Amino acid sequence: MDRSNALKTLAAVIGLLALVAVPIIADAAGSTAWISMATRILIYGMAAASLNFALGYGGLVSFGHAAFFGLGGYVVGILYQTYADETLLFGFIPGTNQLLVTLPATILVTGIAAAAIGALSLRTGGVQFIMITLAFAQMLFFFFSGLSAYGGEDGLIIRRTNELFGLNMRDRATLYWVTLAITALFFVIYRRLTMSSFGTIVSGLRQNERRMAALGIEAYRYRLIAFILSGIGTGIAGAMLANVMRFTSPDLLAWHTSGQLMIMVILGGVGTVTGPFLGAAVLLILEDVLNAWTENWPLILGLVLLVVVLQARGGLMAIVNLVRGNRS
Amino acid sequence: MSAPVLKVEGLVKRFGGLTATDHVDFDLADGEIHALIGPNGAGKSTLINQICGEMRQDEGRILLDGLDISGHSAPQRAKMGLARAFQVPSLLNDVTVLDNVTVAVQIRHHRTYRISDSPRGRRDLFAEAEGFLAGTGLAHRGDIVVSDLSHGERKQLELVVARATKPRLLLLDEPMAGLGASESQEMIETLSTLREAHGILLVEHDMDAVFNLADRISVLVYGRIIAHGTVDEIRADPEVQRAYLGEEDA
Repeated sequence: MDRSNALKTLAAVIGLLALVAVPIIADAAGSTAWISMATRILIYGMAAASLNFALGYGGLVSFGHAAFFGLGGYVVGILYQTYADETLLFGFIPGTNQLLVTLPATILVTGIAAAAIGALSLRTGGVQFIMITLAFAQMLFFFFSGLSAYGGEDGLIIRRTNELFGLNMRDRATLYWVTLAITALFFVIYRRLTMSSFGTIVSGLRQNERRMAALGIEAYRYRLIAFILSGIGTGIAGAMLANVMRFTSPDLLAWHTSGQLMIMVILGGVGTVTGPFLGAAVLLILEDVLNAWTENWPLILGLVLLVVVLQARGGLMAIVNLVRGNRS
Repeated sequence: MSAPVLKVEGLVKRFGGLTATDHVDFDLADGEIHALIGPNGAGKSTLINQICGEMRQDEGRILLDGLDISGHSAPQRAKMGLARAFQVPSLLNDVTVLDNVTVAVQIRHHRTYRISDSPRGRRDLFAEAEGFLAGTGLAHRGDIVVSDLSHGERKQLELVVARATKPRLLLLDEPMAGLGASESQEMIETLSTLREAHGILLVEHDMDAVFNLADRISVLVYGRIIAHGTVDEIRADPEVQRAYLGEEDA
């Protein structure tokens, strides 16, 4: 037991070191594009992991998480534009370009949005829940598409990445490391959450709501809190994506973004801690590789997904665990 | 006999033209095993569902420790001390036996909103849950995932989970259903040790078990209680013989 724990810790340390070394290796290999790719993988990983808490642990199949992803982006974008124009948002909120302000603002905004959307959607279940979350996300999509003051359909350009402690955020490697630090913190909290007392209740409700009711659990309020936490996590990822791309647009709010996050979760392994990160990495890299190869890449991607889902019902994590199990 | 833990007064439930529960009255004292028997379709499950709050009655009242709980939801009633074991085991199938008991323990301790306690921080809960498994047939099966358990083991686990809530009252819906002869015998022994701590409402088809365990018996036929009394009184009652026991002999 101690030995396997020591091995796990060792694997985690090696993994973290490898992640820290990505920009150095990419520089040495002369492929700086790897740095952007790695940054995006971390960000989409956070978004997918957040969705996984609702979907995989809570059994809440949300098809509207793009709403929180996009909202996070617009919080950064709108606050930046307000800052650049030296105006006040709604007449009283000053703009900002400080990451230490925009991230808490994202948490606040996406938390409130998730509370509102969740409070209404969670009155339904099953397919209706999927459709209602989708409808809310589409409403936000059309809202921001029509919001011409902030770019409308064209999206909103953010001229400079948010500042943090006077670091040179224009440097891709620095931005990667900042993203990595945020992702690491996110991962620790997320992993804890899944194993916590609250996480146990949420996952119990997925498995058997009737049993949990017989033990004294009112499903609604626990699911609502889970949905809010999940929305906030996705929102933080969206805020980071806007910072990295220096751009945000209604596309982030569209249904195919929700689908993309869902595919990452399913590909990586529903209800696993690291699966969504793995799923994000595989999907983004595959998209990139196949896109360079043929313009019919979605067809091939679809086939790959089909094989993974049919062959390993637990996603890529099931394959990883299988390999691990065989070794020990 | 002490004040009743559970009192059901004039309970009525109709489904369209069918009266599934027809002015049912009965009570259950602390430390008593009160058996509810009756042929299939007599309305036993409907009655249990109303008592635990999954189904709302059309008329009448349900009192727990003298408090009217007729309007309470199932989770509220569970928190007030009503524990239920389902006829068809209804457990958390993806997690282990110990996890199932631990969830019951953590809910009783109101440890349901902590979002960052580690498994190490939950050690006290696991230890308490182990205590409930000790001495049962599942004592060494704590690490087994529920979906790998046999039917008999799941029935046992239903009971352990219900006990882990430290209830005032246990509602047991056919705890012997689907058990083999030796498993049934074990279940009877377990239940007879439990009467010390809880009132038990026992819905059961197995007449041996009922006559072995029950302090009092109520007989439900077509939604109505046609007789109640001690084991000997029920055995001797001609109406019961005709309506229920006779059918089984035939």
